[in-house]
Amino acid sequence: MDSAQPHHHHLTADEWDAVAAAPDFQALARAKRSFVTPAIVFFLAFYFAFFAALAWWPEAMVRPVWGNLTLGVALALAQFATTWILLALYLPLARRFDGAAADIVKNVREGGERGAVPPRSSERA
Amino acid sequence: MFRTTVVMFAVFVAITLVVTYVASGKSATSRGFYAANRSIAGWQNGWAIAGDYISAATFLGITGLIAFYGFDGFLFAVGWLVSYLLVLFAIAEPLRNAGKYTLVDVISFRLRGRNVRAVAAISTLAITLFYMIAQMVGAGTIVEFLLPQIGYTTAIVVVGVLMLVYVLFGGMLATTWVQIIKAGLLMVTVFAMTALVMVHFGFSFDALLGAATRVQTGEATNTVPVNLLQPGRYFTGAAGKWDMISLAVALVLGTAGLPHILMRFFTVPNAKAARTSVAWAMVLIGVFYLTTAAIGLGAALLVGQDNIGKHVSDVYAIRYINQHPKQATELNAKLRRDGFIVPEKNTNMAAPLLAQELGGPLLTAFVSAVAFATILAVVAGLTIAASSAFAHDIWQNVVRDGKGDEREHVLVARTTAVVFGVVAIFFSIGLRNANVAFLVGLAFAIAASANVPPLLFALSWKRFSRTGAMTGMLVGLGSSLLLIAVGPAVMGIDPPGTPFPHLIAHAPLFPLSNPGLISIPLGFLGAIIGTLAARDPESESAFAQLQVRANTGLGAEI
Repeated sequence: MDSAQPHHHHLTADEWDAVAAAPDFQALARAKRSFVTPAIVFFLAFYFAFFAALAWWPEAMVRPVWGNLTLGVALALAQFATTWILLALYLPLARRFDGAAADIVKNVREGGERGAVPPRSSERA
Repeated sequence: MFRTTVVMFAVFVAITLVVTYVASGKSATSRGFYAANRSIAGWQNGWAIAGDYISAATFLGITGLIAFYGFDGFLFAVGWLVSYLLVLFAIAEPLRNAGKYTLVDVISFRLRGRNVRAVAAISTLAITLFYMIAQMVGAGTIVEFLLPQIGYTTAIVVVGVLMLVYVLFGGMLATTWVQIIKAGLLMVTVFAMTALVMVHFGFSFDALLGAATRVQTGEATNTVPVNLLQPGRYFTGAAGKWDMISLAVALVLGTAGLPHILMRFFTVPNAKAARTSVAWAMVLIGVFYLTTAAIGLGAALLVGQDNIGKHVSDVYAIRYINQHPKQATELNAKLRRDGFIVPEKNTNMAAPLLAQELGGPLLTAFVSAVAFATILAVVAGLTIAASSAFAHDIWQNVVRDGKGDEREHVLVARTTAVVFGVVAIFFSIGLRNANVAFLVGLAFAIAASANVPPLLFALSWKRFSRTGAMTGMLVGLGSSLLLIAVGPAVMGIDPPGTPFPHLIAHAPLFPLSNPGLISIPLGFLGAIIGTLAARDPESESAFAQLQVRANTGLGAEI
């Protein structure tokens, strides 16, 4: 386990730059960002909106919405729900990112063995 | 009950010592000592994170706050759970890919230079020490109440010594298994208690909520039932809403900077397993928090707020009288007249007292043993985090400049664990009257103000520089410490005869008890201004490498 895989600290700065600039890495970084950034903005906005509502509309928060369930309790439980929903949305997406990342690593390793760093086009699954 | 609790706790200790024995010998290297040879599976690490995160302050603290203040107490649970989304999306995988043992590794990946590493390590040590004292003071208080035969100091020394045995002989592997076992026990306990509470309400959540709107309490002369679903019962007064928002900011950002939680991501083989572990932790922690609502409301309804408060007041009164023997007669008279001498309610006993109500001495003994096990697991994790901050970050990378030898490194790590443990024991004995929630809040505020801005910027902002990291960390650390020192937790005017007066008898200069609302933005601002002030070409040119490494795992530590 310890020495099964080689370390890659030996890539030079130029080589790291080349991997970073390659289209497959750019595509991966963009795909990640396009989910993660809106997701973070959304959960923070929802979270702080909830606390703002508690601070400035406390009367509305005790209003029952369903049986004895008040709006405040419903919104608190909704925080749990959105947290788990975002998790459930992210996990399958992240598995796709894993595939793309593994391809990039594989290409760099093969390129490294040939003594060159890959200026390749993307061939992701 | 005493004997049952001791037997149950002894069984837990025996099992964990066997685990430690099995794990011993696998912590001879730094990779084994700090990171369990990266051999922990994702799901196991998820349970261990839950075990590390759900401290005594959470289990006893949240249930108690819900029992007394209802809805507001549950807000802690909301913040603490939601905070894991930031860890999931922005921290866990890049951290595992780019770091070796600590979050400081990731901050100083591009920002070479000893100063950045030293300051980041010092903030880690400050966070872990405050967190640790909070846990140990909590342990002592619980034991003092549940097992008066043992006493505060003995309890703390027992916790400290057992924790050191796990850490010194079993390293991260043993600590991880202590956390997993404890998390399992805790989940069983809270499920059992929730089921027993729900029996009283015909397993109807609606009926429980209905009862929570009309809680009878003998508070003062008030005979009007209290609505525990009403917000604003804990965050009261003029500064109440701002206190709540400040706490909300600190909770949601703080987790992403907690050293002992982030360190757990280095114990798994790769970034994918790091992600799996966050997912498990988010499910476990979320389910746990949902049960605290039932347990807290159950305690308020089935035990009664007055009963919870009274038991604790008695314990405090007895302790205070023991400490002030000359005033004993006077205090005893006061105790007889008023029923109690402590104006503040200690809410920590809601869960154990509910256990007594629901399941008698056996369940109480079990809950007490689990609470004690909880503290043990958390302090062991904290001690390894502190040990890595000194031995790996300061000794190995600053003093030895990365060239120290491995045997020496592990020796320094073990020595640090002992010193840290002993210091924490002494502080905890000295600070036995410290407010536990305040210490935990302090740890979260420092984590969010000093660690989170440089961590997020290092991973995502190309221009981020050494100067920016230094100004960000120093401003974040300094402002959170300063605002706490002049805030209502430290400064305040007490009525004469208050047993545990404020440290500084003066009206607070800063109105909020949690500094997060001010210190966190200041930490980010400091990092931004410092970065814009001077360019750092070395950091900018290493950005591509960090990006590739963080997103693909290329070159990650194995």
